[in-house]
This record gives sequence, structure tokens and C-alpha cells, in this order.
Amino acid sequence: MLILPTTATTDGQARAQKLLQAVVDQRVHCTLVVPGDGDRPREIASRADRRAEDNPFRGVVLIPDPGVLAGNPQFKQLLDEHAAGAEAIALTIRFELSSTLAGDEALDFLALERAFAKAGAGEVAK
Amino acid sequence: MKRLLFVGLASCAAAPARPASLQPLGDTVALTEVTSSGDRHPVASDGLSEVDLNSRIEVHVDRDQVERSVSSAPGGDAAAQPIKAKLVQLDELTRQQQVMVKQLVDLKAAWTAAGSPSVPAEALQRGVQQLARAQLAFTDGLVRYASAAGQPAQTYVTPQPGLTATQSTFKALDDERQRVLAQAAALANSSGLRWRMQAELTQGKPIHLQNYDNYPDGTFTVIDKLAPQVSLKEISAQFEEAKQLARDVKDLSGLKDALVKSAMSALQGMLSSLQDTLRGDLTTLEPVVKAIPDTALQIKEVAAVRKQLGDLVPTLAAINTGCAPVLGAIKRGSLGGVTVAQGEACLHAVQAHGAQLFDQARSAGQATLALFDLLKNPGKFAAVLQPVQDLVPKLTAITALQQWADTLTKSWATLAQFLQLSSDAAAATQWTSDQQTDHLFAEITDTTIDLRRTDRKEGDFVYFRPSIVNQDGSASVVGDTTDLRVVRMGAYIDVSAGVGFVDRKDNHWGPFSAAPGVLAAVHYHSRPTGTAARIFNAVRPGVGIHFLYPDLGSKQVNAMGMATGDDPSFELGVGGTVTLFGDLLQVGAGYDLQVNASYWYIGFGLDTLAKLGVRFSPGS
Repeated sequence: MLILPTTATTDGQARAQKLLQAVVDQRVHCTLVVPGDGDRPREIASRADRRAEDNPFRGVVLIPDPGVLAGNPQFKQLLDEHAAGAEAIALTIRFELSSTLAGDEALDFLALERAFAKAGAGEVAK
Repeated sequence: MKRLLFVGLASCAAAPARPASLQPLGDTVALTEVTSSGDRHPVASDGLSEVDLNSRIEVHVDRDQVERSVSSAPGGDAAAQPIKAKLVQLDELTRQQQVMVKQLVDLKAAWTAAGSPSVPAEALQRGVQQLARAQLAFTDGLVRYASAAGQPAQTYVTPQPGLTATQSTFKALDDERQRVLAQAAALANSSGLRWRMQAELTQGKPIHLQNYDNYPDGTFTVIDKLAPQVSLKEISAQFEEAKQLARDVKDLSGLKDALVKSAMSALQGMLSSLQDTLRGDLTTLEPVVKAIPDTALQIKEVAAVRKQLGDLVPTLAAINTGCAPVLGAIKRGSLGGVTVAQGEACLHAVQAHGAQLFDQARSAGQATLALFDLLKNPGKFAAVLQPVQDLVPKLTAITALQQWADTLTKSWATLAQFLQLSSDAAAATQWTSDQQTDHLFAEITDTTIDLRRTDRKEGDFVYFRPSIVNQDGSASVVGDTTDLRVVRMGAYIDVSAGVGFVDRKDNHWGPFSAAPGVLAAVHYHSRPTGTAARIFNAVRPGVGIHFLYPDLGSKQVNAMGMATGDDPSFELGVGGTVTLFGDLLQVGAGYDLQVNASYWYIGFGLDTLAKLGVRFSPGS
């Protein structure tokens, strides 16, 4: 699981955007992005990581401080989805939005598995 | 750690997927031959397999498969059907997961081999996408299964402590399978079904299977394959036979024809007199049975005749059918036109029904005589017996048949012995159920067919059969019988008597004189793993030494009529021999110790012929 730095650290935003840019550029794994800080986002990210741990073609990114994404149009959709209530955002290997999870579903292993599988299969949200 | 994980997953992926289709008892039992040297050879479940006479056969029962078979058995009740459906779905899910794991391992290996690039080749990207689609379909399948089974689907995707997600799903599926199989076992046990296994040697001798029957275990004996299998008594009998043949047989051709024809000649008298007794028609009594009125059956003498005739008529019909060409030839006065096959069919018919015919003819005759006594003084039954009175001329055929049976009883005993042609092979396999100890499915164990504890000999057959039986012992599902032929694998020695046609080495072809002899030859039986080995085993070549009694000496007389040389009364020839088809065909060369002359010979042995049921003199 990749945990991005926060704006509270030195060059946190730049380093976070650089790390996330690497995720954008790679074509190996689909990604489940979990924005937010606190126990719940950490639990969601942890559960997603359990569903990804023996599969090198799945990745999890925890963004404790979504503010680090501000200013970069590539990450605007992530911020919008988060603002709309998404607690987990599944992205294809081309960093396209596949699906979002919120509420009980975000903690549900079955929902997480389906989100990973759909994103891996290249299913894009309409 | 991840490397270990992938090795583990790869081994799961490599495991063969269970077949989705369920065959009753098809794959429930696996037989493995363990030789005296400890080599293990799987026994094919179909066809005829060969096993060494010093081997044991391990019988492994796949309990899971048995329970599947029960749930898929024809006629299984409604309760078994959902279990069967669940097992089919679980099989399919497990198969899908194994395929996915293999894909995952292959993709990971390809990616690593390419240097783990952040942008791998398009082909690998497409592969990853295909894998994800398979994962999606698999997850949907899990959801459908869980929904149908009334379970939360999360059970199958929630990682368990100490296990990865994939391992957890494997384990959850396996746990579910065990649970369903336990349901199947409970269902089967509550239905009273039991598991039974039986093994039998040629001629219906049961073989004890540990845990599965109460038959006594035989004495442990390992057969020395380099010691001749034929006893001295048998060799002696064969040698006497060979001596007789050496005197009588001039030509090897037509042995079987001669045998059948000689048997037919012996049989001709019996069939001819039988035909005469029944006025040329073995079916002459059939209308009599039908003509006896039901109203007369209240009289015990009539009922007795009716019953005895009811037994006798089918026996006569069977002989009439089996011997139709022979009976026709007898009517024409010559057996010349009867083929060997027709003759054999008749021999078998008489062999099968002859003894019965004699018994039934006597019983029917006695019943008919009692009826005749009644007909003389019918008393109050006069009216009822009137239709029977009209049958008297036809009924006299029965009394004639009785007289025929009385006359031929002694000669039948001799004839029956003569006609005893290898009936072993035709003997039907019979098992008795009273000594079987059947098992509940939860108590199934493996067992062993230990040939070393059986009274086996080369050429015997071992039959093995698993089955599922009801509580009352009746069969519910009968598995296929596995047939095994007992052979001597590897090198072995055979000793047998035979007849050689000896030609003195004198630069002249012939004359050949018949000579009895004894041969000891080494043979080798290959494990029949290929066509070449099977052909080699069929040809059964051998090499050995022979002892012949040639007759190469001669009394020489000079021009004055004076004897100048003697014909030794005893001559012994010793030499080497090569054989084909066991001892059947022999060619050899040797030296006559008394006449001091070399010879070569071509001959045949009697051991192989004896095993085929061919005898050249009764009682040998």
C-alpha cells in the first residue's frame, strides 16, 4: 500500500503528486485510492490491501490529506469523487475511473474484490 | 515471502482439476500392483491387466469420490440432488480458481522476467486484463453459489488470519466441499447404503480382503519362478501322452478337428439312440405338455407327469437346438458334413444338459408309468382321464426315454468325463454375500489383494469389484469388475513333455520319426507396457535343453542274411531347443548317445495344449 505524504510535511504536496504521477504513468496494476484521514479510511485501505496482497497487478493508495492533489487537473476527478462522498475510488491501469464505494460497501471485502476485478478488467464508469 | 506464496499457489494450480461430470463408481477405486521387489505399477481400470503371481494389489478407495457417486447414483432420492448440484458448482469454482492462479503465476513470472517494467508490453497488459475478467466471473460465481446455498458471499472473500486472500478463498471452498461431502455421507449412511469390495480367483474361490470379508486368509507362499510349475505327476502323465502320440500321431495338422471328431464319434451313438427313441424328433413331447387338460391336473399322477414333462421338454429343446446340424447328419447316416464349430456347439450343449436329461428322463418315465397304472383302473376319474387316455401312444415315448436313460447311464458317465472340455472359462463368477463385511461410507478403508496368500497359479484370473449395497445386502450400484491375469513376470523355467519328429543328420531330408521327450526351457515375460512387449509375451519364446527317445538305430543285415549291427532297445538323445508359444512349437538339435548320431527335430509340447484344455487321451 502506498501512503502519500500530507501537506503538513516538507514538500509534502510535491512529493505526493510525484508519487501519484508514477501511479498514473505505470501500466501494471489497477489502483484503489482511499482519500481521507482517520480510522475509517485506514480500515478501508487496509481491507483493500488484504484483497491485493498476493496479486502484483493490484495496488492501494491511501491519501490521508486529499489537499495534496489540489492544483493538478489529472487528480481533479479524484477530488470531485471524494467531495461527492466516495470513500474508495477504483481506477483502471490507465488511471481511468472504474467505480466508487461508500458506506458499508467500502468496508465490504466482496465489494472491494468486485471493484478491483472491474477496474482490472478495464471497466470504466459511465 | 511472496515468492513462497507463489510457489504455494502454483502447486495448487498444478493440482489436477476434479472432473465436473460424476460417474457412478468410475474413479472410486485405484489398484496398484506392488511386486515382490517393491516396484509399484498402477493397474488399468479397463481391459485385462497382467500381474505377477508373487505381487500384492493395493486397493485405494477415494472416499470423496464414493460419496459423490452415492449422490449421483441413478435413482438417488430428491435429497441427494441438491448435494450433487452443490458439488458440481464447487468443482467448477475450484477449477476456475486453479486456472486463475496459474494465469496469475504465469503473468507474474513474465513480468519479472521482463525486469518488472512500470509499462510492460501490451500483451502482458492484455493478459492482466483477461485475468481480472476471470476474477470477476469467479466472484460472480461465488455470489451465485452462496446465494443458492443461503450463505453470505463474504464467507468466500474475507481473508482469514494467517492466509492471503487467494488462500482464504481456496480454504473456504475446500471447507464448504468437506461440509457438503459430510452431508452426502450422512445422507448415504441414513439411507442404509454400504460400501462393499470383493475379490475372487478363477473358479469362484474368494480372496480375503482385509476389513471387507470373513473369508479365511490363505497360507503365505512365494512361488519360485525358476522352479517348474508342472508337478512330476503332471509331467509323467504328459510324457505317457507323448509316448502314445509318438506312436499314433503322424501329422500335426487338424488336431482340434481330430479331437472334436473323436468326441463326436463317441457322442454319435448316444444322440442316434436318443433320436430313435423319440422317433426322430426331439421336440415330439412338446405338444403332449400342451394337450394335457387343466381339468385333469387335479389328479396327482397327471400333475406329476405334467410337471416332469415341463422340466424335460426344455432340456430336450436345448440339445435339439445345440445339436441340430449333428442330429441332421446322424439322420443322413454320416457325420462327414458336420463342421468343427457345429460339432463343438453340440458338445457344449450335451455337456451342459446331458446329466439333466438323464435324471429328468428317469423321473418323467416313473411318473408316466404311475399314470399308466391309474389309466388301467381309472375308477371315478374315468371321464376326467379320457383326454389323457388319448395321449397314451405319445406318452409311451417317455417310458421309452426312461429305458434309454437306464441303458446309457453307465456309458454316459464315461462320455461326460470325455466331453469335459475346458469349462472353467465359461464358469460364471459368483460371490456370496453372507461373508461380506460392508462399510458405512465414513468407515471406508483401503485394502490389499495379496496374491501370495492365495492358491493361485499361472493363467488364473483375479476378479475385483466394488459396489454399493443396501442395508439388506442387495446391490444398489455395482461397479465394473477389474480383471487381472496372473502371470510369471520376468525369467521363469518350464518343464514339459512333448513329441519330436526327429531327422538324422545324414545329408538327407527325412524320414522323420516321432519320439517322445522332455524339455526344460527358460522363458521371459515382459511387463506389457508396449506393443513390442505384448507381441513378445504372446510369442513366448524360450531356450532350453531336451531329452528325447529317438529311434535312429537300425539292424543291419549283410548279403548273407547275417546281422552285423544292432538296433539298441534304448536310445537317449540330448541337445538344445528353441521354442515358440511356450512349449508349443519346438525346434532343436541333439546327439543320440547310443547310436552316436546327430539329429535335429521339430516338435510340439503338451503343456501349453493341456492349459488350453486339449488332451490326447482321456484321464491323462
